Amino acid sequence: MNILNEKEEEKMGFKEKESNFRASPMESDLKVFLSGVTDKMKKDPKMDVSENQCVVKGEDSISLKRKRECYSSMLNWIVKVAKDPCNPAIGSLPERHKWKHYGDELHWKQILLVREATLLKRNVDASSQQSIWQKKQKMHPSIYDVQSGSERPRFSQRLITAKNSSQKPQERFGSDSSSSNSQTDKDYDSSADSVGFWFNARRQKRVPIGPLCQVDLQEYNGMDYQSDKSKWLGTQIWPLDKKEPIRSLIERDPIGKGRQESCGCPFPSSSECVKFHIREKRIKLKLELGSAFYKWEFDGMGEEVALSWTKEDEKRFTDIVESNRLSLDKYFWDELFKIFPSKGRAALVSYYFNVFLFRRRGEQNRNSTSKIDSDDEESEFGPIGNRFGQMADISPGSIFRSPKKSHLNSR
Amino acid sequence: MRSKERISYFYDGDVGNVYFGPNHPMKPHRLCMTHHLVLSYELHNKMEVYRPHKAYPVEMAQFHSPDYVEFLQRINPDTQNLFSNEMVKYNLGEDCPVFENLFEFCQIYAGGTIDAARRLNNKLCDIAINWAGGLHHAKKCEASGFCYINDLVLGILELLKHHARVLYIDIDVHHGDGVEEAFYFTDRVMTVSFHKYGDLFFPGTGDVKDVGEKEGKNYAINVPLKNGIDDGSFLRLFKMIIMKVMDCYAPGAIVLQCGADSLAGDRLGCFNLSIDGHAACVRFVKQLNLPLLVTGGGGYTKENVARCWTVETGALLDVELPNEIPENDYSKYFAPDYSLKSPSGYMENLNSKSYLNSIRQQVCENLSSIQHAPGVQMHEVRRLQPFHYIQY
Repeated sequence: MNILNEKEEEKMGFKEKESNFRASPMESDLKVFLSGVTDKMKKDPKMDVSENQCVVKGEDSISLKRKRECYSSMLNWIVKVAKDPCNPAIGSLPERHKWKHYGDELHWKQILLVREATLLKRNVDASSQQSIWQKKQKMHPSIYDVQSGSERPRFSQRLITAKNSSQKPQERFGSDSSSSNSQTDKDYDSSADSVGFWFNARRQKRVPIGPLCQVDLQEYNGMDYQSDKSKWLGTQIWPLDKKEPIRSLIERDPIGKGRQESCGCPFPSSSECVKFHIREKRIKLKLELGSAFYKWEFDGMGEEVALSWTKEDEKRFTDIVESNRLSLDKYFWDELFKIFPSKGRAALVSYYFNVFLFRRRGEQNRNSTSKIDSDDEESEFGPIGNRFGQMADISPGSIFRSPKKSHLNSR
Repeated sequence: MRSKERISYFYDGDVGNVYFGPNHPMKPHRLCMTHHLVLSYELHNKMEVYRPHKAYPVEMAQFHSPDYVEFLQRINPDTQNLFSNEMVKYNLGEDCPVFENLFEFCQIYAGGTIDAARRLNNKLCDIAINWAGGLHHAKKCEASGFCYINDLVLGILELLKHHARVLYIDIDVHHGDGVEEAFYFTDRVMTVSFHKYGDLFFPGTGDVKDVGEKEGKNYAINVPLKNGIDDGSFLRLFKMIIMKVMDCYAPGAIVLQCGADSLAGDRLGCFNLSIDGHAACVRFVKQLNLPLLVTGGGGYTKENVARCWTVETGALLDVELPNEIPENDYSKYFAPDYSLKSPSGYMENLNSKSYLNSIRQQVCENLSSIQHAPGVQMHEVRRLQPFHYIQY
């Protein structure tokens, strides 16, 4: 079976890597319910009998084998759709009223019939499903109770939500007011709506509601706004206080002026020319901003930060980062704190961003002709860590798990 | 355009020291780069720049639960191992690591948005900007998606002291779930979020069918989109929906979250918007001529974040910035072109015309069911129906 062309299959590779964690439980679920409904399908009079159909009346070994092959091809098809429901190669589902015109040899048609059969079976089992869920619960929500005991923590809210969702496989998982039943027949999302629905529905997140979620809002009474908190309106840094003396007169550039292409330098656009103009601009800014320059900590910005470091210390910094960068045992920040105990975290972070990464970006500019990504620390410094280097377990609900465009490195 | 619009811009130099940890995509250093770029274009000479006060825990507790705020204040990297239950309870440790000066960081960005709202309420400015803010995933009792304190909710609560209705618009690639959830039951805030939805993209909420509940029913608008949406499609949809919202809702103030991860080339995002496209949304909201609070949000390719928010600062100041970036301390980051505008890349737009049409239809239908704001002239409902027949 080859519903996608080769190029699509290749692209899928990236996403498959990312989505493996959710494909596995899905596949086993699929196998369970597909095997469970074979009897139902056999009995269903709608099922046609022919060489190419999944369900045949006879029980001989050849037909059983064909049935197994059919199921496995259907299974594969579902998995591919579930992994990438938006893939245009899948094609779009016809409108609901036209389904009867399509033959049962089509995978999507088979899935719909199976689903119909399964839902009938599942509703009967709803009560037993609930108890299975409860038995599987390992951690009682009460362990998250706070000392005050005034409110139930949100975790229990989520568990309740998930439990409810397992009882109502047919409905869209939203509250009554948002179900908008007239919408469900519209095929606005053809790839996800019908076939992908069954799998997406189990994972669709509800908006959490409850006293621990929504804001307590008073009604608007239309009274005049009284502000007695005038001190909490921010401290003006710019324009400067009129009392601050202007040390020197400088020519201000007009607002919105861009970089000038021509300058008086002997070798325009050379590295010396650029460095000169950057320094010139910095001095001008310093004179113009006065106290604001320091309040905005511009004295701690840019490569100038390196001026407060000795050449030796700079070399040591670079060596530590380079030698520990891909190590799984050591994290360079731990080493940096050990070697530079007196510098302090702020100084180290400042050097890291303003000098180290900045110079690395300069090297990338010189060496790389393809797209430069100064934010791609992962390929240089190893996997993600929290708290200055401790390895983090990436949970399924993490923002890091979000599938991205295939041309970026997947996490 | 109003004459002599006053713009207040909030920035605190201490954000430069904030570091989430190695390889963490959220880099507050991008705020230094933005500020630097804004100044290199001399934009500070057309606005007032303020350092915000650091938000007090009691202010944060206007929305968040006091025990959560207190925990954020107490916890530090050295002691987090002793509080593993609370770390789990408050969803700290992975996406939302505990780092040095975490609480100070929250105070800065939340203080900025609160001060911005107060300045607007006191009519000290027409537009207020806090690029450090916009952390829209934070929930009442937990952190989420790199967000700890929801400055947007706090800012909106401040605005609600002076305005009956506030409109919240979110163009981050991720669903603005924290803000929507906070105001899910009320009609005093309408939340409108344009975001990627599906493929288990974070946070997983934001279906067009989620419209709010109780008094808040139909006051939450979700515009779920697929990968690769481009400027043209996005802007058409954005303008149509916002126009319809303005027609039906008549807010007193607007809060606009300008997450830059909806730009093409973002590390975590999957849209194909250019900076011009993104900024066009900001321009559109500005010309609605209401008190406007603008914040940052996501954005994980820091050069593009700095470019985007600089262009948008210019847009809010009605200054069209030339493409050639002036020399500044961070010039190297803008190589090789040293240009301001990043074009959209080649990326397949998976949002078909029929899909976008149906989303727009559903949103408009939901909006049509809400009561028109009192005091606003009642429009005949039929007049709005031609929208249904406009094809993409």
